[in-house]
Amino acid sequence: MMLFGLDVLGLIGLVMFFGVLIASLKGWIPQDVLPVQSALVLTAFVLVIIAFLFGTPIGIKDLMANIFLHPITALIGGFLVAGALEASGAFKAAISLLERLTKTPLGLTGTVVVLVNMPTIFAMPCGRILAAALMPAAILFGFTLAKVKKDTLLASIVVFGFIVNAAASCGPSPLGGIGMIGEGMGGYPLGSLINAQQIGIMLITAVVMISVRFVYKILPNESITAKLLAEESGEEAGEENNKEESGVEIPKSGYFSFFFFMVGIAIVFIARPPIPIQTILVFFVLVIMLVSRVSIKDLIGGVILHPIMAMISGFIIAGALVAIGSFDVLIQILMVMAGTPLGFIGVIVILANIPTILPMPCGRIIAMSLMPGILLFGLKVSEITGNVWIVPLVLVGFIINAAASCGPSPLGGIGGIGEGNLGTAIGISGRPQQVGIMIGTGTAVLIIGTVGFI
Amino acid sequence: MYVDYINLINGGILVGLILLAFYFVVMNMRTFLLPEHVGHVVAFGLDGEADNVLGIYKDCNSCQISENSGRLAFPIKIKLDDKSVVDAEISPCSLCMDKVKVGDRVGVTTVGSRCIAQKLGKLTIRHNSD
Repeated sequence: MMLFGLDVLGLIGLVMFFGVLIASLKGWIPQDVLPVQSALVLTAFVLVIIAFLFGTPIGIKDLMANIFLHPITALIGGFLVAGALEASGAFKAAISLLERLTKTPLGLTGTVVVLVNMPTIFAMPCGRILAAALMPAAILFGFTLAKVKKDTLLASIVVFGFIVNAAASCGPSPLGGIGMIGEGMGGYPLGSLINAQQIGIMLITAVVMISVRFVYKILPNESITAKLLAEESGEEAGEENNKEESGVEIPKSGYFSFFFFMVGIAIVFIARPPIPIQTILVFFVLVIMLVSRVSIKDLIGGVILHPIMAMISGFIIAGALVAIGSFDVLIQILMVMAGTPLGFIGVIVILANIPTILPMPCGRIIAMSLMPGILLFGLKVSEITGNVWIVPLVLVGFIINAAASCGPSPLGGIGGIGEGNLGTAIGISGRPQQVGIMIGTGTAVLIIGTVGFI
Repeated sequence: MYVDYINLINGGILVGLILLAFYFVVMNMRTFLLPEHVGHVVAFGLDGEADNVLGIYKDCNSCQISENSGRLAFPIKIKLDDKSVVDAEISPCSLCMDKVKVGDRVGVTTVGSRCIAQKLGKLTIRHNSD
């Protein structure tokens, strides 16, 4: 059955998919009753029923065919690594190293630059891991800088820069990041899209910080500022006594785990051993567990499940959309749009920025759902234009945008962590983040387009 | 033969991670459908202050400033239905996405070596502790 040349069943699937996303964002679907991940899984099952009524039944195999085990297992492995690092004290060691860095020629300002880019350097499978673990450091350094430079706005600049960097960091993560899925789908070697994303993310961070400084001017709450600055003065006065009294030492295993992880990951990406990343991650976990005497129970409790569930729900709805031909309909619509003055470039720009236009609390929801469609469109345009780089261009733009989109999401995005800690209005950091993400998306695309895989 | 052993190890690791994924999904569902204990959030942070900093944002949906350096989850104090107060942890995802705030009903479940707090769903089966 066709409507304006479009398959009706596929069109229904597409309308329902975007309808659920928009309804969730608008609050028409209360998130405490039906979170967006659950709503999408429910939509998938509704589509199964509708497909049956249309006489083209789709089975469980069709739904599950789009669930790729490699990214899920890599993500689990990544979370085990994160849990091992946390349990061994590696994150505390990272904060301690940052504090020592301020005493080097880098100084406080240079250390802040390292801090705000730490999530992308560390590249955990979920940005919330480091957002939670390093937020006290971001607050500390932000307010210290604010006090030194006598400008409280600097605290917001540092915190929101850190937040958006954390939000986007799951894109280039080699520990089951969203980028790996794009690389796998596109058939590119592991790590092909990482560097372009990381450069894009650093630019996103810089743009957010600049826009908070010059355009949005989001000041922290005055009471919180006064309290923290008073605490800082108190700490400076009794600094030596406090350190002696607290006696909190970071275990050597923390420093070992931190350096072992950083060096290990670097070696993996330089040497590119013919070993699955999951095996490498499990090896990391075992070494850290042995050295730091961390138990498996410590790891298990530390796994954050939302990204896994988000990914699975995205895969399921994508499976349904593929099975009923929704992506074919999407490609047709996009090709019509490309025939307008927008052209292919304009359509690609819109497509790549869809995650930020419809920001979900976890970028994996929309990334997994739409990735097949993105790939198909990229292949179509590549076929028409004869340019083989269109596919990685579209993929990297979409991936970095999706990864970062959880920052400004009104459904509990990472931005809320920064807003809560600074006492600002909830949602106020959404706009600067969206601006930064859109510019960073373009940068990553430009890198792939001009330089290729770096 | 050497390659066979390597493939066996790789395959075993993949299967193990898949089984772990099932375990995590089941445990996650348990935290909001069938928690071990149920109670109300009384405070965030290790200090256990009842409100946000300076008590301004009683309804703040985000995390508090806490002495939480280097930890993946945020500490939270829960007053259970049996009046005891326990220290638990809540993931940054749950905190923001579920908009957890002081006074909310949450379930507490032991997962591994941690007490994990999760906001109760509308379909939570268990509403009493012990």
